[in-house]
Amino acid sequence: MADTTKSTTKKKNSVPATRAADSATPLLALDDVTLRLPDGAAARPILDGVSLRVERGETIGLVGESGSGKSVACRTVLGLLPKNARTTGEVRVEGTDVLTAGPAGLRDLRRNKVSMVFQDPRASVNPMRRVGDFLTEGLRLGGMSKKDALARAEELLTEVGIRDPKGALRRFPHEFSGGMLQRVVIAAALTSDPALLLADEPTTALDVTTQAEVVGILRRLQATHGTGMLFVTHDLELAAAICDRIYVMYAGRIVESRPAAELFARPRHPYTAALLASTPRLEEGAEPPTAISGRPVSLAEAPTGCAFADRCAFAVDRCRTEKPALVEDGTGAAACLRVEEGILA
Amino acid sequence: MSKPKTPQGGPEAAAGLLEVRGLCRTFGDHKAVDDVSFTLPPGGSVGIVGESGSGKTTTARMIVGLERPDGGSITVGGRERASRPRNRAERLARAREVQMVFQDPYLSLDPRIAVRDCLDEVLRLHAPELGKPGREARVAELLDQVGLGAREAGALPKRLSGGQRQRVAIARALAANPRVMILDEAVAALDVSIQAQILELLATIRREEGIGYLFVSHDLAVVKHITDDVVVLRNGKIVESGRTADVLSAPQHAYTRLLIDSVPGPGWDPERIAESRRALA
Ligand SMILES: Nc1ncnc2c1ncn2[C@@H]1O[C@H](COP(=O)(O)OP(=O)(O)OP(=O)(O)O)[C@@H](O)[C@H]1O
Ligand SMILES: Nc1ncnc2c1ncn2[C@@H]1O[C@H](COP(=O)(O)OP(=O)(O)OP(=O)(O)O)[C@@H](O)[C@H]1O
Ligand SMILES: [Mg+2]
Ligand SMILES: [Mg+2]
Repeated sequence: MADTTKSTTKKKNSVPATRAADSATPLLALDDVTLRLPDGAAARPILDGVSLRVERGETIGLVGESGSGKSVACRTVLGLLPKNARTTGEVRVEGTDVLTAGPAGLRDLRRNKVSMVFQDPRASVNPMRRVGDFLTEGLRLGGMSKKDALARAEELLTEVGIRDPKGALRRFPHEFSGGMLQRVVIAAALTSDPALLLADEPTTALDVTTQAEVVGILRRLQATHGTGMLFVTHDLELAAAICDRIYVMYAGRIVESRPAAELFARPRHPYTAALLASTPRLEEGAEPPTAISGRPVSLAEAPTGCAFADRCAFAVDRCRTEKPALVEDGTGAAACLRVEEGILA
Repeated sequence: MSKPKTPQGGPEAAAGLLEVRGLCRTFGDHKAVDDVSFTLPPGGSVGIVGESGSGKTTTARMIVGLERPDGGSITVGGRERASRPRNRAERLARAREVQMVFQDPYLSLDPRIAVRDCLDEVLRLHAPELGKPGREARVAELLDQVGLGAREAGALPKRLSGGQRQRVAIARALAANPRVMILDEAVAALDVSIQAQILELLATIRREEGIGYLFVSHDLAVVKHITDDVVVLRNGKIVESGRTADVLSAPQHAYTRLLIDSVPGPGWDPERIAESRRALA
């Protein structure tokens, strides 16, 4: 891992915003991103040296418990930072650094390249406006005629499985169930034909059958449009079922990353293993879920060593004083001082 | 604990602690709950599962007394509670017997009242015999039981995490010394590690107190680990019920199969789930 305290000086606009998306440039790259609140507001950074990649057509999972920084990481990709936050590192979408992009660059990014779907569909729509207006807004801003925009909106509603798309355009959000409204929100996110979709717990508020349908829709759309997706969830079973690769976050740091199947079969970080053990399983003979003892690290605490040490069954003295770096291994990477010892085997 | 209740014995043991028979509720021309019957044995745990809109919450609300049934009967310890209470004492006794914990306790906790006072309030209502020192001791005991410390005791709900708020809601329910606790999606909003803590807490409380649980959820993986029996609701009707282990390992109804297949895990296939859902519609 690179030094996280490196200077904040940035090359201004060194990459033209219009640069073509060539296949060598990752769709999304976070490189050593650190995000701090103003002095006194927090004892540790919200994001601490986070690096991750999403390629075109890939689904990448970001998992971790509440408060670990998943949503902040997502919002950073859109250039939405907490007030007065300071950042170091780079967030590049198709090569363009988001953190140094000006207002015009950010507008282009949000309008044409990246869309986000949030957990609660009701919070992302204006309850007073018809679904049709909500869906066509972005298209109209992009210069499309009203007629064409409505036709496109209807097409998208059909794609996300809304049966009477014409009728749906005239209806208000409260006339939809949670699952149906989340489809509308996904349709809206797709109006710009984004290269990257940020899905921040898009199915957490839905029941399991509806969740399956919504995920099915996301996957189908992704296959046809080649969209890359960063999928945030705390449900490891869900992440394993849909993601190509998973990043595990703890207290603002990536503590493990690995192809989904491998992470599931053989986690190397004790936190990942603990998270797996706390997931209730349906398989016959499955052990009851085991809680992780203790509580997560708050922003007011800045542990000197490994942030998970206080809750870790394998922690030794060294873990409380030395901060483990994320070290690459055969299939991924883990940030644990004892990973070499095969403590989880 | 002050008064551990024995799960077995008592005149109603054979009859079941909570008996629901032919429960119905219609909204407009929509039958939200349609002829629902089940039994919760003393100290038992029954799950109510079904997709969104299947009538789980409406059933729960009728049992607590937040919603009046159109028909059917609900008894706890043999006493009917579907009818209007005759007087204040009866209303209080009913309120005390059955306590409910909701998905988001933030909405059900008064934002201006600190945790300690919130518990004290319940004790004043349901355990006036305790007196002030007795209440103080009981509040401390309840906080300890749900794993909350002194800092949390003095805090307002907004200063607590989701998991801590859910502990407060459970402590508040326990303060009434109920015989039945209804948990409506009580762990659905919590992330898995906190969810596991609350599930462990609930298991311990059931073991120690012998309180019966009615556990409402759409997540069968959770239901598997916290209930003995399960009732599967679809469009307000029971399509299947039985021992949780049996229903999950050998579901008899296609809808139960669908709910099981929907839980993410090895072999999870969203396209197939969507297909079977359409086939059932
Ligand atoms: N705008 C903000 N100002 C100050 N602190 C913030 C802001 N947004 C988030 N935080 C803090 O940053 C930390 C990470 O929050 P974040 O929302 O990213 O967590 P998360 O992993 O998405 O959790 P959850 O699973 O609950 O959604 C938390 O401690 C949170 O309180
Ligand atoms: N007060 C009400 N007025 C009108 N209809 C209602 C009312 N309460 C519930 N319903 C309807 O009754 C049906 C059952 O709702 P209920 O809330 O019991 O479902 P649920 O199984 O708890 O669903 P969820 O998993 O979404 O919580 C739904 O169709 C709902 O719209
Ligand atoms: Mg979040
Ligand atoms: Mg409900």
